Amino acid sequence: MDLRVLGWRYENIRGGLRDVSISLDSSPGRWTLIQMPNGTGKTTTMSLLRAVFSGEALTPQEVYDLRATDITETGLFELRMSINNKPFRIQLRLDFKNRTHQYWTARSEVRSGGLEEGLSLPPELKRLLSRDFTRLFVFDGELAKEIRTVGKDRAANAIRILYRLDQLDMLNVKVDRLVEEQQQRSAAISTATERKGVTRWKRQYETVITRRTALWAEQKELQKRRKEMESRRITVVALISGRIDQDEALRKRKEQLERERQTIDLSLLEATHQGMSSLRVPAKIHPGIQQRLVALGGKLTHLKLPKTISVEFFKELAEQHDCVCGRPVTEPIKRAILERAENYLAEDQILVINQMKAALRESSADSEEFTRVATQLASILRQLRLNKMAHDQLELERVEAGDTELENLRHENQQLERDLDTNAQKIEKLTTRDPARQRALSASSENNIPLCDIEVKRCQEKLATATDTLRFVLQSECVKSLVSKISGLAQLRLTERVRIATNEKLAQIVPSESLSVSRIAGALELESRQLSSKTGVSEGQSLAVAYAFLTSLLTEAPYKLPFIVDSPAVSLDTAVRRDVGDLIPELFDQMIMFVISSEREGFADAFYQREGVRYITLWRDGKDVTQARDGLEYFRSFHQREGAE
Amino acid sequence: MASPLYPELENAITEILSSANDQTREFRQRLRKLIENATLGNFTDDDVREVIELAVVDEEFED
Repeated sequence: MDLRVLGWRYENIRGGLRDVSISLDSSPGRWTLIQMPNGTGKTTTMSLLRAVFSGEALTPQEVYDLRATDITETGLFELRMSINNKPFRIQLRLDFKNRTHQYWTARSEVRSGGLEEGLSLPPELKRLLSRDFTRLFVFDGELAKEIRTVGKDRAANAIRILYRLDQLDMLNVKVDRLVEEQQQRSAAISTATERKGVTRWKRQYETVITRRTALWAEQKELQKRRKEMESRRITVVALISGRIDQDEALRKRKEQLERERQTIDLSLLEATHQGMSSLRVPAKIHPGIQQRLVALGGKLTHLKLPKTISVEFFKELAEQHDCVCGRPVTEPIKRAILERAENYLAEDQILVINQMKAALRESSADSEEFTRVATQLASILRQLRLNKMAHDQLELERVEAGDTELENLRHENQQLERDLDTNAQKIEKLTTRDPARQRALSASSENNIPLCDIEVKRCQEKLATATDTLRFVLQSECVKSLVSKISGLAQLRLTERVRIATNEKLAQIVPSESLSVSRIAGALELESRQLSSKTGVSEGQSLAVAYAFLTSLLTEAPYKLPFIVDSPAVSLDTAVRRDVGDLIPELFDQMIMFVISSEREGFADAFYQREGVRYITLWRDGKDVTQARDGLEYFRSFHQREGAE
Repeated sequence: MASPLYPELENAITEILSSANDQTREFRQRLRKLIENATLGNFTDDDVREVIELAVVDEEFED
């Protein structure tokens, strides 16, 4: 599906946009640079574009704030675009007096070609263009921070929606609904006694489903609270650091401790990796384990499993009246046993067992290795504790010198640590699948989601038996399981492809930063060559990461979307600007960039040599009305004092 | 019309369905087609029901 912006028009919109048209349908139109000084409605335009793409509902205040002047009663923003080469016109009609708004659509499919009320985009596109998704391709720097901030699930969600994996979730919802309908139909034709059983299991099933929904809500709330606390903790730690910095001597000691901490972190990472590698080779864990492995290898050798015994066993079994499980061996079962007998413990399995024997007999490794690594790890952890204590000491010295604000911040930080611990315990009780932990935490289907899932399944099977729909339920579970596996595997591979492509682009844009995306979970997790995880990232780095990610995400997707970006280079230094300016345009079939005059250097000027670029400049004239002019010459030479919008 | 499947989804379908060797060839083909159509939001209740009813299952379960 191909979406292309052909232009837009404003009537009576703030920023002096009384009657301005931007037309992009005549060539050149692949890249458009729109120079808008602050105060001429750049942010407003971005908001309006997002609104008409997604059809989001504006609040009365948002509508009112869009008015050009206090006496303006109505306004309009109209977007023209083509979807698979068919023209669409979306209007956002604004009634400032009543603070209301309406969307209208004109499309070629409608015979009259006239306007109809509502946002009538093709269903597939309407599904895609949610408010959150629209912000990915009508993009501003603010999103750059969100994309890599813990707690935002936009990155992974965007991949699911853009690559239509969310539709597979809808398929599974449909399967569930069909099961429910089937059960309702069956229950309706049962006898009175059977109906009693159905009612009982149906009630129990509904109760457990309600409980599971409540547990999910509780989990979501706890996770939300956790993210808020983590975010606040980052702020508090930064504020504490700022208080320390106010004392020069303490600041120097703090910096020294931070350098030491970095070295400790690196050693910790290295020792942990080494420890994990040792754990994967049992013989390295302890001399006792090594001895037992060798002994087991010896015993297996003596056992000498005969190769043909399993085949003989199956042949004999097929001739019996009853199977070892007690069920009769009928003719079809007999055939199945004989046909499948070869599948069990054939020549290659014997080979594997022989290899196991050899490996066990010859198990040899440095059996002291893990002990050494564990000792080293303990020593590093001790250094880490001492470093933390020394850091605490700095804070205490400052508190003792009378810094009450720092004292309050320290208390808040300690409270946050305690609350985060409690929160983690609650989440663990709610979500753990480990039977040992479930027992230790007294988890039950009343308070643990995995156990509740098991209870849901049990009730569902009972209900299915009562309604005589067991077969259909099991079949639907089979379909759902396969669909979920397919969806999960596709997402995993897509995410990895996007991650690799993102890192390749990052290496081009910021080769000196040694910055890369280590994981795309809810958000983007970064790492640098020096550290296992990267948390302190500048605004410019954020923007570079966001560009690398978005271009990787959008360019190979089944949808061709325009990339509309506000101030694409304002927080980048000149060298990075040029790389961004060289790399990104090639990746999109249509790119619309709103720039201010200071972005011409390094970014806009990278386009001057390109063919197929459109330059538009908007400015406010003496009567405070915004005017638009096409052309490179005017774009290059334009100078106007930048005000605040 | 060209398949709406991109390589990652295509390969995931192939891989998962080929490991479902207890299922019939027809079930696997129909499920593949259903997923293909589902990614475009293009399927009916009957399409889904027919695929469900083709699945081979063992009706024994733990009480």
